[in-house]
Amino acid sequence: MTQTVTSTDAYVPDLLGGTPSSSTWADFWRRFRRHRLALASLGFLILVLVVAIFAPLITPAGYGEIGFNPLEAPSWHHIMGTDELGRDSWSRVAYGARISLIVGFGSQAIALAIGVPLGAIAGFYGNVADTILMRTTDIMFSLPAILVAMLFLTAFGTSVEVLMLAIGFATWPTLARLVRAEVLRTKQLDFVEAAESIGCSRARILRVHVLPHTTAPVIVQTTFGISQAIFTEAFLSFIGLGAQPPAPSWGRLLVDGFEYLRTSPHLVIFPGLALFLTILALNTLGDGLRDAFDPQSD
Amino acid sequence: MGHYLARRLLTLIPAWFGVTLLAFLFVHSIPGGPFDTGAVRPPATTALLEAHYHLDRSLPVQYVLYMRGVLTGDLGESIVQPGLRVSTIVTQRFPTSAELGAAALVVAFGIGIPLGLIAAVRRNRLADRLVMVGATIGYAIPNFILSILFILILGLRFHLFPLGGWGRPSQVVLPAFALGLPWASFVARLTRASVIETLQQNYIRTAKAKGAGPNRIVIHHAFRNALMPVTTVSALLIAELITGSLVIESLFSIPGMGRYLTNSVLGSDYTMTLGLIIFYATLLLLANVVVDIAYLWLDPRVRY
Repeated sequence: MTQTVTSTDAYVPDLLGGTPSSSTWADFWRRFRRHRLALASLGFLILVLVVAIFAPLITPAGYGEIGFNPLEAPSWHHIMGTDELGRDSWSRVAYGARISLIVGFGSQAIALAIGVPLGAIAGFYGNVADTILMRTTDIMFSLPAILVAMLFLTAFGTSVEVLMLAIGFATWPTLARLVRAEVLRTKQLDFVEAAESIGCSRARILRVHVLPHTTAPVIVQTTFGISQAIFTEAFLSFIGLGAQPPAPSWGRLLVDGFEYLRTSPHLVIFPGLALFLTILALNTLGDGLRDAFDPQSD
Repeated sequence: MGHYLARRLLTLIPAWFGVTLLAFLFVHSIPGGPFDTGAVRPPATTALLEAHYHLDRSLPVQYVLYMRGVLTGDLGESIVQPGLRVSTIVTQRFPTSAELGAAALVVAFGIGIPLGLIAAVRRNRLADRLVMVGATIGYAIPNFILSILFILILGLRFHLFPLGGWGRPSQVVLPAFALGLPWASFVARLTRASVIETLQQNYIRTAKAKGAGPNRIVIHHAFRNALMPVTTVSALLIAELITGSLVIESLFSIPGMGRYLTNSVLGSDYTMTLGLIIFYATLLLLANVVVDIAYLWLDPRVRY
């Protein structure tokens, strides 16, 4: 490929020949399908989602139900063994998927709700709005997201809901900066000038002509954001600042199981594997999405 | 250079006041006072305690009083253990945390940069594939899971390394790798991408045309330029190592500062949390300046 192709070319008709252009999304799907690892990751994540939703139907006991023999190794009765209080570990790992996904998706929904409008306004209208956003995000970026979340948890206590809010609050600046950069780039393109010339209002230009161009990078960033949020939730739960017992966050299961590492390593292996594979799948999916959105990868 | 440095340090001031204000407001937005714990205490004692921590003053006055202390190097006093200064914790515990962080940084760069370089030079060959698979996995393993794996396999199973403690070199290995290895993966990916991009530049073609061999091109021509993105992320890396130390220090029983931050949040020691977070924020802001200066030094084309 000799000519330089920018990502915006995906949205204009293909005048240079090549594949007959159907639609952006069809192109996207065609490229995404080729990325087999990303497809497998998507499959795995759907599986995690199914487990989280149907946890009560596919586990032998509730996550807090005690009464089995404690610290039993994995067997046909307890495929992931039992913990120190005689709770079925598979039930706890399955319910733990709920916490991870709720915090992962919920926090990123919050980050999107704050970051996208602020980034769009700052990038599009500029001036004061832009200065305020840039200085605010500068301040937020001078603390790692986990420390910002810790401040939030100090002020509002620890629960799954606060955790979700804390991570959302700590991570919106990344999305705001991304949307701002994309809007700054897009608003200089010719079709924006064309829209201006036929009398579109500023608000309409932003909504209809500029914002849709931020979709691809925002989707990719949100995928990595969910992965980060799930890690952060597990991290905070691991140091005791997350979901409170008996809630079975994967981070909590890991730290509780750590005490029995010598005798019952199954208590850390299964939640650890669940957390690792979920993060790995989200990262691989993110890579796959990024490649699929990029016409240059053809 | 001196002029630039002065200007760069000046931009720190608003950011620094911003982050201290943010942290201060969060900690002071906790409903109820820190002494409303239900403990039976004469009202006069509570009043004395509140006066001691300036809690009887208005919020802006408290902020000014607090910042006056911070500017003279006093980060405040623990509210749970009266008499314990935050600055004392910092001076006693931070060196240990810094040692751990430095060791992890050596792991991250010492493993990440060479592997990334090899992967880029052997692009699409076996070595590249292996490095990339390893990096993808390494980046997805949370540091606390890696710690548990190390303790389980290298500590408990094969008794190769001590399980915890601090002071002897053998005690540094496991925590430094647990903290640094995920970031070595990150650095390897970044170095690979950066070297590949650099190798496509015109001046590399010129060097080739003049007869420079492949090794000379990579080492003398491409490497320094390819390191620029790696330099940029090192500030981010320091931030990540700081947060990582919160969990690594407790898993490996390292007497560092991270554990104090975790424990202060768990034990509602608000003033300790605030002081330590302000210390970390200051450290990170300064790290950013250092990275900017390193950038200037590495790339003579960059002029601010």
